[in-house]
Amino acid sequence: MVNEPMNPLDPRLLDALRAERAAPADARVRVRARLEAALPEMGSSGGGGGAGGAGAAAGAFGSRLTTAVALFLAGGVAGAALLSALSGAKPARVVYVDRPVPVAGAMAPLMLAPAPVTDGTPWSIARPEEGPAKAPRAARPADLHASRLAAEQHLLDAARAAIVAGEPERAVTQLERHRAQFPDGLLVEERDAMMVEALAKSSRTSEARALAESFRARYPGSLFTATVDSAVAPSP
Amino acid sequence: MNAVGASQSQPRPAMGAIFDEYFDYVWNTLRRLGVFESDLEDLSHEVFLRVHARLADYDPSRPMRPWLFGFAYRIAADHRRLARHRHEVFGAPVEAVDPVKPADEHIAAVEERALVEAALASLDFDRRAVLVLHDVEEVPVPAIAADLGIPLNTAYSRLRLAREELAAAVKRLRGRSRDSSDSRRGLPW
Repeated sequence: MVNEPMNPLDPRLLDALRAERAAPADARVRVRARLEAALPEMGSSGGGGGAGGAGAAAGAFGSRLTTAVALFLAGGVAGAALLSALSGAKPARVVYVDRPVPVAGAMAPLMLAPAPVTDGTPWSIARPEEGPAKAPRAARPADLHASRLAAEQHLLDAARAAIVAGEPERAVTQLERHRAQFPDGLLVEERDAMMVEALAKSSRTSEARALAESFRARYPGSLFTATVDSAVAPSP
Repeated sequence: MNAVGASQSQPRPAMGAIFDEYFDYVWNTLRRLGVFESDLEDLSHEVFLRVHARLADYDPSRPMRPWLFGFAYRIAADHRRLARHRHEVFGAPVEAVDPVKPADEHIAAVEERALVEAALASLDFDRRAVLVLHDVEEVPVPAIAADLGIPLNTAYSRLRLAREELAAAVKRLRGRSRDSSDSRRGLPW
């Protein structure tokens, strides 16, 4: 029963549980420095803005399954990359294929710092050296690899879900956000392929075709070539 | 009332102020939720990144701590789902407090608080979350049930089991600690 008698915790246990330990001062300094690098307004008094402002309130603990799937897949991709690195082989291009499409509305909220959705420049397949300047890297980027990859996947999952839901413009927005946040991300190849598809479905045919051409040149033999070709193929 | 704590007319607090006031709280909450010491720094960073992303959703008339707890809870839960972290954090619950030292040696050296933390680490994650929310954060059980999306009976059941398991784990650890001390005292030189 809900109101069954319940033994309270021993007060000594309770005191020990509630005791707050000061976090290590050096850890505090490092975390603050990393946040200041990522969030320019960290030191200001104006308060931060939301990234998109969409999604459930922070107190809601939904979307666990979606998150679990995304993180499971993140682990797989990260593991593949690690194996490649350890074997001394030529670094493999990480691609992101064949995942379950998240249910619209159940998408885990985007959890990264806000970035401009678009800078107004047209889409192009930028080589790393041509892309936007890298944001300052965290002090321990390797430790953040899995979470960064998961964050990339969240964005691409959102874009994929939007395409499936028949909202390609929303997919374009998500993909632009990915480009802004991860100009040299691990999943740029899939992002660019998906962008071709999203543009084509948004009736931005000429942009889609130009991007498709750049895609083929940049990623010869890509697993996504068929998808890209299909997206810009003339309707029968 | 603290500097960042909400009042009805306050504007949304700045990220820097939130960080300065609640970094220790976030750190301790993650620790209570079973995050390994070596991961606390990265996950605390992650919490504040997410807080920043959602700051527009924060209602300044509500207290900050429960709101922050939601981020810490989800990040700890996500972190736990990664197999490599699950093994580290939950694979050997009681002894995992400090894997460098044998459990007995560690327990003999720590104070009451560390012993309770070690016991807390042995609890199932979902039960531990309810216990931390209720007994540490003093969130009413019905509110916990609503936040976690679980039936009220389940929330009460988790709390009851968590308390029982915590008390048993503390007793067990105290016994080990005593045995360890006795053993050392019994050495002939």
